[in-house]
Amino acid sequence: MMTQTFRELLSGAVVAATGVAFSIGALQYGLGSFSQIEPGMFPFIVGLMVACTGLLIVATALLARAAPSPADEGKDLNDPARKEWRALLLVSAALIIFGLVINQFGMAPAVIVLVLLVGIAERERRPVQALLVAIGLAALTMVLFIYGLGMNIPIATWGR
Amino acid sequence: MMQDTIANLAMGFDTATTPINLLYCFIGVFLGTLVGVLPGIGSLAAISMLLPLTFYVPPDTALIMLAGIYYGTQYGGSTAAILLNLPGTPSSAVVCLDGYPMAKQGRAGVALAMTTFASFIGATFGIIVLTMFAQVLAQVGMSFAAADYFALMLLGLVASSTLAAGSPLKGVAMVLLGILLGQVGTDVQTGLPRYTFGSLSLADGINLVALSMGLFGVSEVISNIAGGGHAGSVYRVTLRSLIPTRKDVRDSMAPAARGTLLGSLIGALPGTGTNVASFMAYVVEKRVAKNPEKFGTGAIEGVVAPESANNAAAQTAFVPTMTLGIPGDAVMALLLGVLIMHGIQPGPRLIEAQPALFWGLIASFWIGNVLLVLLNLPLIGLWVRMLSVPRQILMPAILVFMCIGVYSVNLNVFDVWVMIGFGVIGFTMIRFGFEPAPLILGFILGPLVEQYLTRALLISGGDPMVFVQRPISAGLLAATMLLLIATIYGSLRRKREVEP
Repeated sequence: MMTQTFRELLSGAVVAATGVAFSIGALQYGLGSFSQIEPGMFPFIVGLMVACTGLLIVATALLARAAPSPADEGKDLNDPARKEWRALLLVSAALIIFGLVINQFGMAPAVIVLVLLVGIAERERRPVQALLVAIGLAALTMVLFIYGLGMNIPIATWGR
Repeated sequence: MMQDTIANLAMGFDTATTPINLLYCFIGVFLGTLVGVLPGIGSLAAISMLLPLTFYVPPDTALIMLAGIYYGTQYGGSTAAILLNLPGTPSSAVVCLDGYPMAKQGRAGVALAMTTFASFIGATFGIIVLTMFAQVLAQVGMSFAAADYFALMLLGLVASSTLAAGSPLKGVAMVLLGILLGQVGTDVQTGLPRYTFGSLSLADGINLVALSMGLFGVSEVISNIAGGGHAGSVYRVTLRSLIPTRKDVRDSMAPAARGTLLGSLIGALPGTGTNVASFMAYVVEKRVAKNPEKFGTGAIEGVVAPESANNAAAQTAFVPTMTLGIPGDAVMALLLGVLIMHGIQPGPRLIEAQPALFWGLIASFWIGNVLLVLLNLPLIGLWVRMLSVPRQILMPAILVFMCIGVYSVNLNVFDVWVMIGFGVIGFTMIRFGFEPAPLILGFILGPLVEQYLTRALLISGGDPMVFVQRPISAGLLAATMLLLIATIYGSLRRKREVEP
């Protein structure tokens, strides 16, 4: 269970940590001075500003927690989100596989695999229809991107 | 001056009426209407999806198409609002309030016709404002020094992050994180690679196409897939039902005029944009109405005013973008990004340096808006049918186009990984109440902010007082500080008010 306050604290902390990380990274590029600015100066300052904003987000969350609003009480944010995390996981998996396939085997197989996997994410229960959509989209992208725009992507190969 | 403008516009029409530009203008407004009609896909996602295409055409053609998507969505957005009670775009959310009741009363056709006319009136006036003020503002911009520019960009960034939807504090965080992401890549001044972790793929920085497709495209597709489809019947619309009564027209005149004026003003300000414009127009209409109780039950005023306002705003949003190089919202920032990718430096010299591009774009707005009226009235049946295209085809198609598009930019799978990464980050950010739009503004303006800051300090010999000694920069910085203080104070007080 994730309360509103916890979400805010977590996001504020992540923002602050990101800012600090960029500032520390900036040190290795050299800060210089105002009259002789070196490449680390700007990201160092912005990183610190990000860290401050993150801390402010944490502060507002703590202030609001002093009096939890009734709307937030007992609201389980995980539950309605479960469907979303499932979609997130399946769609990113489909996209990663697309990236691997297009590099190795070319465009047509990558498109077909991507469409079929998205079909699983969408709980598509008609495999024949999904396959038809996949083949149709593969043909369409071939016409549009390779013949229409002259992109230099292999349609189907066996390793490169 | 007047004669100059006419001569310039004539030149613009020469550019805009070449067959390729006419074709891309049509593609732009067509796709704009399409994504406007379809709920769940906004103009940001659509423009991100088509960014790779802009590498294959000249910059004026690219801009004409992407701009067409932007103002085209404003037309299409009201269709889903009226027929399905679902806003096709955020800026048409208020149109649902009275548009859907009108549809239930069998007056969907009238509502659609009047929103199209209101849109056209708003857009036309917006283009006139843009034409009149663009050169004047660019002249003002010419007198700006590096310090003034730095201050102006700061004001633009703060305004667009704090005034946009969601928590202003989180908006500021997003802009700043965007600036940090813009730091990745080779430093322009010294050639030193920053935050690349030795990767050659990051030497040119994070790819804008991959970043925006991930943040706006992938994350929207994920929430669409998770959210489930929209069920429900779509109202049938015949051509005959489009004809409004004389009373409808009479009732719409004043609201359309008020919406247009308000929208033109709001659109030109940084950070407000079309959503605020349509919302404000609705509120104003309700305020001035003799019988405000009829709002929400199918009042034509409540449909016409917001639609004229958001279309006027969509056109005047180009004023600060094209004349000063300060984008008001994320879409405008993406358009600037396209210019930069084509090696064109945005700023007050743009109109002088690229007259064919600027005036061609304005001429294309006239053409595009006429096309939109033609697309939206006689072809309304086509869009209504679009609403029933199954998601099982739509979502995979969008993902396929994004994947191939992002891969085609450099033929490098690395960009696909970047897109996936930012898709996941963007989706998570939205779940945690962070709007990703300000991030893209920071990403695109960040390198410019750094350049102006460095240059201003170089000229002043390292004296930071330069920013308060110049009156323009001092004034802009004071405005920025005021806005920041008001925002922080406001958000702290809002949290406290929760206490009993």
